[in-house]
Amino acid sequence: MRLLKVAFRNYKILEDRVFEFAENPFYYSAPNETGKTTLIEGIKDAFSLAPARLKDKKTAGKDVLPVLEVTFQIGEEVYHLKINAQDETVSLRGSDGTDLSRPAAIERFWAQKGYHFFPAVLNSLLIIRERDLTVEVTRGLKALMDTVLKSATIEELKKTFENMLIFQKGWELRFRKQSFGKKEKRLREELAGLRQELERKRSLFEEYQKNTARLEGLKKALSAKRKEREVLDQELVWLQKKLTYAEYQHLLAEEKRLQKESLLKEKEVKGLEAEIKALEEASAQLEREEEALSQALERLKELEFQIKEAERELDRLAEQRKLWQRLKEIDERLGIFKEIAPEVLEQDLLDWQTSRKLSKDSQGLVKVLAAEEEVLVNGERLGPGQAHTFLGQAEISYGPLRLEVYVSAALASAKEKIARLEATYGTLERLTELKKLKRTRETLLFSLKDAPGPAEAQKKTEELEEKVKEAKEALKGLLEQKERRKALLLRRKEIEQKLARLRKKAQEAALALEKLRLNQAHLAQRLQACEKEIEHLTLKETKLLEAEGGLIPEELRRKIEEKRKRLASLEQEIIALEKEESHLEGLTKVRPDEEELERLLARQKELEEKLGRLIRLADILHHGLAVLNTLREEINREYLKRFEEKVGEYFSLITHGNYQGVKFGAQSLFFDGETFKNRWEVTRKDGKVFAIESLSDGTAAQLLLSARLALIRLFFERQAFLLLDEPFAYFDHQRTQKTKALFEALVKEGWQIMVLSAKA
Amino acid sequence: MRLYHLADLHLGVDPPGLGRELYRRLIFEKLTEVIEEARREAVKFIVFAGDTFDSNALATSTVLSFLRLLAEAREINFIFIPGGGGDFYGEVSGHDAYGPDSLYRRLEVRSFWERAGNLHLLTPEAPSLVFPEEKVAFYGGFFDYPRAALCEEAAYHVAVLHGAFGERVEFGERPLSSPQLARYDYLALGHYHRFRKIGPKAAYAGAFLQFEFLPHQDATSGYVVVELKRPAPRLTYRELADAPRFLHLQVFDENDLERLKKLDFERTFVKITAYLAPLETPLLELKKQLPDRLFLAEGARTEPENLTFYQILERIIAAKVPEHYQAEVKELLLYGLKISPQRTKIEKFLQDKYGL
Repeated sequence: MRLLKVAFRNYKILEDRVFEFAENPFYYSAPNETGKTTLIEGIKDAFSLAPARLKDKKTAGKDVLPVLEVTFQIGEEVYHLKINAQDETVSLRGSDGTDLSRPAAIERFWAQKGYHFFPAVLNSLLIIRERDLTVEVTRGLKALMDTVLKSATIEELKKTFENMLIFQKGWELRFRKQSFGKKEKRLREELAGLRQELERKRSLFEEYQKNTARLEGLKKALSAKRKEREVLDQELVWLQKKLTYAEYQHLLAEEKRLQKESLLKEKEVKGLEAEIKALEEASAQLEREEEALSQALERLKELEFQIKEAERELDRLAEQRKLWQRLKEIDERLGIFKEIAPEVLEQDLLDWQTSRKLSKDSQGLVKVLAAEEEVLVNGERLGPGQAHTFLGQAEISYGPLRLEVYVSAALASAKEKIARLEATYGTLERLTELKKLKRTRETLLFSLKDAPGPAEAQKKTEELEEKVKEAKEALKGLLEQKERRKALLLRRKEIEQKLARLRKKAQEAALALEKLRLNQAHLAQRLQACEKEIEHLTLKETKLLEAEGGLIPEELRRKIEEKRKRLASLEQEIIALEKEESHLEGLTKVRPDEEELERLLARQKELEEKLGRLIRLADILHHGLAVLNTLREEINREYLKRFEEKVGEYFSLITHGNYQGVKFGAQSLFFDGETFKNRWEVTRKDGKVFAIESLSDGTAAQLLLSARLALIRLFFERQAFLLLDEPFAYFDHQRTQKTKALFEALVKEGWQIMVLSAKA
Repeated sequence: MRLYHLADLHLGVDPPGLGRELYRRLIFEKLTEVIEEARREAVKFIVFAGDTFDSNALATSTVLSFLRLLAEAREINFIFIPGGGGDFYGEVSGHDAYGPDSLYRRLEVRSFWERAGNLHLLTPEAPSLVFPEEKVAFYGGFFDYPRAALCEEAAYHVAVLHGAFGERVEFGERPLSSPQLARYDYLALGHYHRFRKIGPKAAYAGAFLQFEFLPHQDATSGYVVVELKRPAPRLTYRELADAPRFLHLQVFDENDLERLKKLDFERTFVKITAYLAPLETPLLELKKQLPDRLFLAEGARTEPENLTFYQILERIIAAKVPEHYQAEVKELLLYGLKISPQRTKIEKFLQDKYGL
C-alpha cells in the first residue's frame, strides 16, 4: 500500500490542506506547530473509519466539522478513502470499482488485500515517532499480537468452555446451568419420563402379546379338550351299551341262580319243619315221663324228714347214755361220800381253808438268846443271838428238849380241826374234788330227771336204728328215680334247645326264601327294563358285544365311573378354559397402538441422540480445552521462530549481508519495550555473536527497525508505508545519512517511507 | 476355518446427506451380498462385533426385518455381541448396549431369536458359545477382555469384543496385552469405525457401511475375512464396492481443489474441514452444484496468514484428541478462535451444530 495524497478540511490546524506523497522516500520539513504531527494524527483518524472521532477535532474558530480524504494505491489500483464528520459517513472508492460505505466492509477489503489488522498495525507499527527507531511496544501492539497469536481469544475461548462445563466428578449434569445445563436437565427429565411411559406401553404391549399367545395356546388346548370330551362321550355311550349288555347277561344268569337257590331253600324249609315236629313230639313224651316221676318223688321228701327225725332222736339217746355213764363214773369216784350232803362237804372245805389261811397269815419269831448248844428251829440251827421267823407254828429242839410253839391258841385249835379233816378226807385237794364231783352229780341227776333209764334208752336206740335202716333203703330207690328225672329233664332241655335252633333256622330259611322270591321279582322287573334297553342295540353292536365277551358289569361300571369323573373334570377344565378364553378375548380385544409405541421409541431415539450429542459435545469441549491448554504456547513458539527468521532477513538486507542471523531471547512475542530492546543477539557474517548492547547505535537501530518491519510482515502480506515523525531528532549527520541510506534500501524493497521533520 | 468379522452396522443411524432409509436399504443390500459370498465360500460363522443397531430405541419392525434376513441363511451362524459406548452407558441407550431397555431384551426380539436357531447373542450372562462340530468357541468381551473360561472341546477360540482397545491409554483405550492375544486365535473388535489391525491376531473391522465423515484414507466400508490358523490368523479386509464414502477433506491449494472435483459424488459425501480463503470462490461454486454432497465446516475458511496457526492447531489436535473426536474438536476450535469466542455465539453455534 502506498499513500498518494491526504486532504484535510477543518481538521485542527489543517483547515484546508492537501499533502501529496509523490516521492519515495518522502521527506517533509516544516517548523514545529505547522501540522506535521496533525498530519500523522489525521492519517490515523482516517484509517480508524470512525467519523465521530473527528467531531472534537474541528479547526479552532470554525463551526464546520472535519472531512478527511486519503488517496492510496494497492498494486495498480487507486483508492479514495473519505471520512466525513459532517454527515458521519465513510466511503472507499477505487479504480477497480470498489465502492464501500460500511466500516466493516472496508476492513474486510484491507484484509482481502493482504493488510490484516489494519489500522491496528498502522497505529502500532507503521508510525514511528521521534528519538530513534526503537520500538516501544505499546498496549496496542500487544493487542495486535494477540490478534495474530490469538492468545486472548484462546484464553477467552478456554474460559467460555470452562464456564460451560461442570468439572465436578459424579455430578449428574455435564453442563452448567447457564449454558446447556438447563437443556441437559430438561432432556434427561423428558427422557426419564419417556422411558417410563415407554416401559409402561411396552409392558402393556408385551402383556397383549403374551395374552394373544396365551389365547392362541388356550384355544388349541380348548379344542383338544373338547375333542377329548367328544371322544369320552362316545366311549361312555359305548361303555354304557356294554354295561347294559353285560348287565342283561348278568341278570339272566342271576335269574337262573335265584331260581335254583329258591328251590333249595324251599326244600330246606320243609326239612326243618319236619324235624321240628319230631322233636316237639319227643319233648311231650319226656314231659309226661317227668311228671310221673315228680309225683313219685313227693314220698322222697317225707322219708328224708322221717330219717332226719329218727337220727336226731338217736343222737339224743346217745347223749343220755353218755350222761348215765358219767354218773356212774362219778359215783364210783365218790365212793363213800356218794350220799353225803353236799353242804357238809362245803362246810368242811371252808373250815379247812380258813385254818390253813390262819396258819399262813400268823408269823412268829424265835430268837435264841442263850444256848450252850445249837437250837434247832424248824430244822434250822440257830446259835445265840440268831433268830428264826416262822408261820403259825414252830418246832424247837434243844438237846432233848422238844417244843411245839404256836403263834396263837386258835392256831392250835385249827390244827386239830385240820387233823380231823385230813383223817376224813385225806387232803384238802381230795375234799375240793369231792365237792366238785358232788356238784356234777347233782347236775347230771337234774339233766336225767325225765330221761329213760340207760336200758330203756338202749332199747329205744336199737328200735330207731332199725327204722332208719329201713327208711334209707326206701330212700335209695327214690333217689335213683330222681336221677332218672334229672336225666329226663336234661334230655328235654336239649330237645328244646335244638328245637329253638331249628325254629330259628326255619324262620331264617323262610325269610331267605321270601327274600329270594322278592329278588326274583325285582330281577324280573330289571330284566324287563334291561330288555327294553337291549332292544336299542343294533345287530352289529350286539355281535360286537357277543364277540368281545367276558364283560364284567362291575369293571364296566368302574370304567364308566372313571370316564364320568374324567368327563366331569374335563367339563370343569373346559369351563375354566372358556372362562379364561373369554377373559383373554376381552384383554386382547383392543390391540395396543403399536404406532404409538413406535412413535415413543422414535421420540426416545431422538432424545437419546440429542442427549448423546450433548454428551459428545461435552467430550468435544473437554478435548477442545485440552488442545487450548497447549495451543497458546505452541503458536507463540512457532511465531517467535518465524519472527526471528524475518528479522534476520531484514537485518541482513539492511546491513548488506554483514549480519546473517538474529536471535530474540524472549519466550514470547508478548514482550514489553525493554525486552524488545535488550534481548537481541546477532551473528555476524564471520560467525561472531554479539549482544545488542555491544552493537553500535546505528547497527542497533538497524536491528530494531528490522524487527519492526518483521513485525509488520507478521500481519501484512505485502509492504506498506512507514510514517516516521522526527526520526533524526537526536542523530548526528553521519548517522542521519546512514539511516537515509537504510530508507533507500527499504524503498527498493517496496516500502513507502515518509519522513516528517522540523529539520530541513 | 474361515469366518467373517463385521462390526458397527449402526442400523437406524441418519447419515448426513444419505438419510436413514437409504442407509437401511444399503445395509440390507450389502448384507445380502455378504451372505451370498459366505454361502459361496462355505463360511459358517459371521460375527457382529457390537453396535449392530444404532439405538435401543429402534423400531421393533426394523430389528425384526434385519434378523429375518439373517435367519433365512440357516446354514450360517451369526454371532452377536451388544455394543454401546462406555461413556454413554446408563445415560442413553448407547447404541445397542445391553442395558435394561436393550432391544435384545424385547419380547418379540427374544422370541424371534429363540425361534431362529442360527442367531447367537453373547451377553454377560451367557458370555461364551461353543460349536462342538466345528470345534470353534466364541467369547464375549464387554468393554473388557472376555472372562469366560476357554472351552476345552474347541480347537479355535475367538474373542468378540466391543470397546476401545489399543495403545492410547490416555484416550481410555485398554491395551491388548500379549497374554490376551495368546489366549485366543482371533480377537474380533468393534467400536472404532475404520478398519484397523491392532496386532497379528486382533482387528477392528470398522463400520460395515460408512455413515460419518472420516479422514479420506479411512473412509472405507467392508469387513474382515478371517482364516483361523496357527500361529496367527490370516486377515483380509474386503472392501464393499459402491459403498457410500464420507470424507473429511482440506483444500489448501489448486491440487486439492482438482482432486475434490474429480471425486465420484454419486456415492461420496465430503465435508471440508479447512480451506484457504483465496480458494473460496471456486469451492463455493462447487458446493452450489453439490448442495447435498459437499459440506463446509464452520470456521473452515482459513486466511493465508492463519495457515500456520491452522497447521499448529491441527498438529495438537492429532496428538491430543482421540481420532473419532478430532474433526469436531477442530471445527469447534476454528469457529471459536476465528469467528467468536463469545459464549453466546459459541453456544448458538453448538446448538445449531449439535441440533440442540
